[in-house]
Parts: sequence; C-alpha cells; structure tokens
Amino acid sequence: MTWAPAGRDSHDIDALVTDRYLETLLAAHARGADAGPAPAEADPILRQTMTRLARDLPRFHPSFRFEEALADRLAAAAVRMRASTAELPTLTILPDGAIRIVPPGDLRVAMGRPLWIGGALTSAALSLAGAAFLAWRFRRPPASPMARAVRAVARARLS
Amino acid sequence: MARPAFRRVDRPEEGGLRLAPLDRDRDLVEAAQADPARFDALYRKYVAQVYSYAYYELRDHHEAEDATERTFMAALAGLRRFEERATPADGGGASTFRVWLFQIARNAVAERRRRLRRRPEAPLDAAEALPATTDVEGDAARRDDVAAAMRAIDRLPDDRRRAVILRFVEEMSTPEIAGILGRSDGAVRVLIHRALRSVARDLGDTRR
Repeated sequence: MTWAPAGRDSHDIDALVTDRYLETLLAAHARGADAGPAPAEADPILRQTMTRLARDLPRFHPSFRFEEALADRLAAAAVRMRASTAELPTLTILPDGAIRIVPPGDLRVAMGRPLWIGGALTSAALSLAGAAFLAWRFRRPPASPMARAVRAVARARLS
Repeated sequence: MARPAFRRVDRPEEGGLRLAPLDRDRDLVEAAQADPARFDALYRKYVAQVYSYAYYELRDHHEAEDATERTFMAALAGLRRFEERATPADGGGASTFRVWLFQIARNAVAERRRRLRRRPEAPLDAAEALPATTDVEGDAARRDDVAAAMRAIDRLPDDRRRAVILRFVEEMSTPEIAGILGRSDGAVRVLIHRALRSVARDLGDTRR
C-alpha cells in the first residue's frame, strides 16, 4: 500500500516527484551544465527517459527567408492597424443638409450631427459616397408625417 | 487593461530590493499595444518557439510556416484585447503573453491537423535535417537517437504529446502548459508522467 497525503493518490505523488526532477534537469540544461541533477527519488527508468528526451528532442528553427518575410508582412499589417486607429477627420452634416469636414479637435461640431466615417483616408471614395447619400436623405422631404414631425423637432433643438 | 502584478527583485546595485513587473514580457507587450509596429520584438522573441511547436505537431515545414504565420497575425490583431493574468504563483520567469500566444498556436495547429488527417502523413525526415559534424559515426548515432525519440512522442495521444513537446522542447513550466492546454497543474503533471512511462517503454523496445 502506498502512503499518500489526504486528497492525493499515488499517481499524483509520482507525477509530482517526476515534475520536480524534470524541473531540476531542465534548469541544468538551460545553464548548459553537462551533468544532470543529483539522483532523487524519481523512478530510475523515468530519469533516463527524461534525460534522453531533454537531450534528443531538438528545437527546429524557421528558415531565415520565412522569418524575414513574415516580419515584413507583420510590419505592413501593423502600419494598416495604426492607420485605421489614427484620428480621422469628422464629416459633419449640418441641419440644412450641408456637409462639412471638421479636423480632429475642432469643438464647433456641436451644432451639427457628427459622423465618424471609418477608414476615410483609405476608402475615401466610399466615405464620400456615403456622406453624399446621407446628405441627400437629409434634404429629401420625409415620407411619413411622423418623420416630418421628428425632423422638425430636431431642427428646432439645433437652431 | 493589464492588471498590475509585481515581484520583488534583489538588485544590490540599485540599493537592494525593488519591484519589477511579474510578467517578463510586460514591457514588450505594453509597447506593442501602444504601437503595433513594436510587435516585432515579441515576434522575434517567440517565432522559433512557435514554429518548432508547429513543426512537431505537423511534421511539415510548409504547414508549420503557415500555422506560424496565422498565429502571429492573429496575435497582432488581438493584442489590444490581451490581458496579463500573471500571479505570484506563476514565478518570476512567467509570461502570460507566451501562454496566450501558444493558445493561439495550439488552435492554428489543430485546424491544420484536422485538414492533414485527410492526407497521407508526411515522412519523418526531421532527424535527417540535423547539422552534420566531422564525426560521421557520432552523427549517425545521434540521428538514430533523435528519430527514435521523435517516433516515441509521435505515438503518444494528442494531449500527452503536446504536454511533452511544451515541456521538453519549449521548456515551459507546468503552470504555463496548464494555461495553454486548459488543464490544472496536477492534470498536466499526470499527463507528462504517463507520457514518460509510454516513451520509456517505447524507447526500451526500440533499443532491443
């Protein structure tokens, strides 16, 4: 019968002993030490296996060409990310439906309805088309009486 | 936002004890979160580890390169959402970024493996790629040892094989492996212990 503290069976104890031995072994390898750790209570067969795996399993390195190519692709992706999160100018639609481009930090936009057009620098054509569509929607007379009433209230608040 | 976690570091030249970030990659991660262009430092630090892990799992250089690329692209894209979760129990050398990165790598590799299962398995030529020295007989014996060790871990069930690769090749701690595999520390210790028993039997068989 194997003695084991409460809550742990013999498998856990053996695994813990193996883990401690392995920790010491890998630390010795990391230091570049030739000799392994002093014999402990770990199973001698497992000790031999651990020593062998630590010695025989190599670490593979990617080719220089691949590493540099991926570094370039990551750098390009990083530039795109930076551009997309940079401060963009605000396109503001005024109450009369006119469009105004407001630089970052201009607080005078409070009089209109600000719209953030994401990626305006990289997809300017799409953004301008969207802004033109919104301006057209604002100028167009509302179809329903309710929409007309809502727009009248909004204009009254802004003026 | 990263949760502050510190450890005490003995620096006599700086007047004794001082506090240092618990996660050893914290400075690099914060720099990359502020400016994605600085992700390069993290990439250079871990590209070989991720690639090596992917190669052990996929046994094909092109597939390993593909999985490595997916891993780092996903890491760069998701870096702003990364949160450090180091605790004092993780120890001074802990890197929760590395755990997070390898969680991504594990998923990328698993996706490739699922696809590769429908194709013939690539031959084991890793041992042949080892650098040669002037000791021809020694080189041959070393290649045999490496091939035998790799065959032995190839025969392990997936979870045991992953744990052994992360422990022996990547030299990760048990808590780090537990974080990557989504298991408890005790479960990882038992996985490795059982894997070693299987490998011991296997290597014993191959030596006869």
